[in-house]
Amino acid sequence: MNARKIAVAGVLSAVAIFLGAPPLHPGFIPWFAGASLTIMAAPVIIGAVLEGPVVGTIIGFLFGVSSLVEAAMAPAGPTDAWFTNPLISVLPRLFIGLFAWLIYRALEKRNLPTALVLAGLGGSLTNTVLVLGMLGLYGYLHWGLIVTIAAVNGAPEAVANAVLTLAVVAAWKRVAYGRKKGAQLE
Amino acid sequence: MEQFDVASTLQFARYVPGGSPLHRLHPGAKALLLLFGLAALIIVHGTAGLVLALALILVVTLAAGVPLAVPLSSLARALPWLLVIVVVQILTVPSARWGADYGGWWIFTLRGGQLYTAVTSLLRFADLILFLGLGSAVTRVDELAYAGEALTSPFARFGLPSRELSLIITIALYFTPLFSEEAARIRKSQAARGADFSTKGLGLLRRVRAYLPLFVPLLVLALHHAENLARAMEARCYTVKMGRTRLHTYPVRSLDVVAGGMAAAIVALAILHPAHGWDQTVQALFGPRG
Repeated sequence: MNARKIAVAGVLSAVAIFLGAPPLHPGFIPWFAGASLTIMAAPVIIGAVLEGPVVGTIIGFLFGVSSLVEAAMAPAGPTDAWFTNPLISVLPRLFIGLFAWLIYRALEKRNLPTALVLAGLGGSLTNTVLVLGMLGLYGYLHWGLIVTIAAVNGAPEAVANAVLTLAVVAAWKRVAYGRKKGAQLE
Repeated sequence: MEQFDVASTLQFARYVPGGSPLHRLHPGAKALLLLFGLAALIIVHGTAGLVLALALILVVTLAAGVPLAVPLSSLARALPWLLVIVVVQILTVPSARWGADYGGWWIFTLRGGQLYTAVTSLLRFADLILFLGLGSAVTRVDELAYAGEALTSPFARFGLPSRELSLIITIALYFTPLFSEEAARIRKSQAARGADFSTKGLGLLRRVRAYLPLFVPLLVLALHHAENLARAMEARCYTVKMGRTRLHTYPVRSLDVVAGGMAAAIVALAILHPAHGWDQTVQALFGPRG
């Protein structure tokens, strides 16, 4: 690992930890009925897209560990109790970076903005599916309820992460996209 | 004005200073105990093991000189939420439907098996919370960073980035409070430019776009920080090859090896689970199985 990968891994992990940190949980975008869309997967995806799957996995690991500790020390809701189990909070997050990177690599040569959006969707859905999957395997939630949550919460969350991934990476790489083709930066 | 101030106190790992043998253990030994303890708590499936674990954790907490109020306050905070999810679990999950029948209503049934599952789940969560509280009370932040490296260094020959891991954790812990201040500053400056962060009544895409003026600058700023940090490291000829020395060394003592052995023994105990008889007695209290 070179210095750049280390620095990106450390800094983006800091962002992921900050977004989930109590008491304000900045990374929670209010949805309806008290639920939120969480965008903590975005730094993981961005790290994987920019610096590779190892960096993505490390950021995912630190994100998972921070959610484990935060759930035990300062629980903010009933669901935090589940996240004291590392198989639910840490293990699924290890794969966000890998899948996001795979999708990005497959598509980046063809169309960069599309690759970013799909990597964002894929990474976020990996998080949703694996976390909810572990909850189902543990019997903490009925499978029917899990599917409902995945659709009602997981899908919009994937869109949110995808939009953020596209916006940040395109801004960082100075790539124009969309109708307005970004700001005039040169 | 509170919405502009993202809290600068990000305390979620609460260290309690002390000189007990537990405090003075090698960070690698502490990490092993933490990992294997967590594994044991996940593997154990009977009430006997979970109650024993609870007693053990409380005894060790006292022995380490950590006032019981510290981990118990985390548990007290979590208790209302624990009860909510346990109630949801027992009322809706079908696999626990054995034992004495206490009636039902619509899609909900109440049977002895569900109550047993509720008790076991509550015990397990309580154990996990108290154990993590104990772990964070006896581990300093710099030990945390070194522990990652200490545990994974045997695997470095297989390509695992072990030495880099402690540096990454240190960098992450250093920057986290900085981003809290940056976020507050970005929020204020964007509001001064007319950004509106309210999301009432908006659809999905508009809600996300309302937050972009906060998160895009934050993440791009993070990447700039990373770029500067990487250049600084390269300018000082930082290299990850072997031969790097540390300012603080952590010598391994015999007590640390014993602690590591105990960690392995705990997991073995959890897997072998000798208290089957007592589990069956407790389960019988909740009604017949099958």
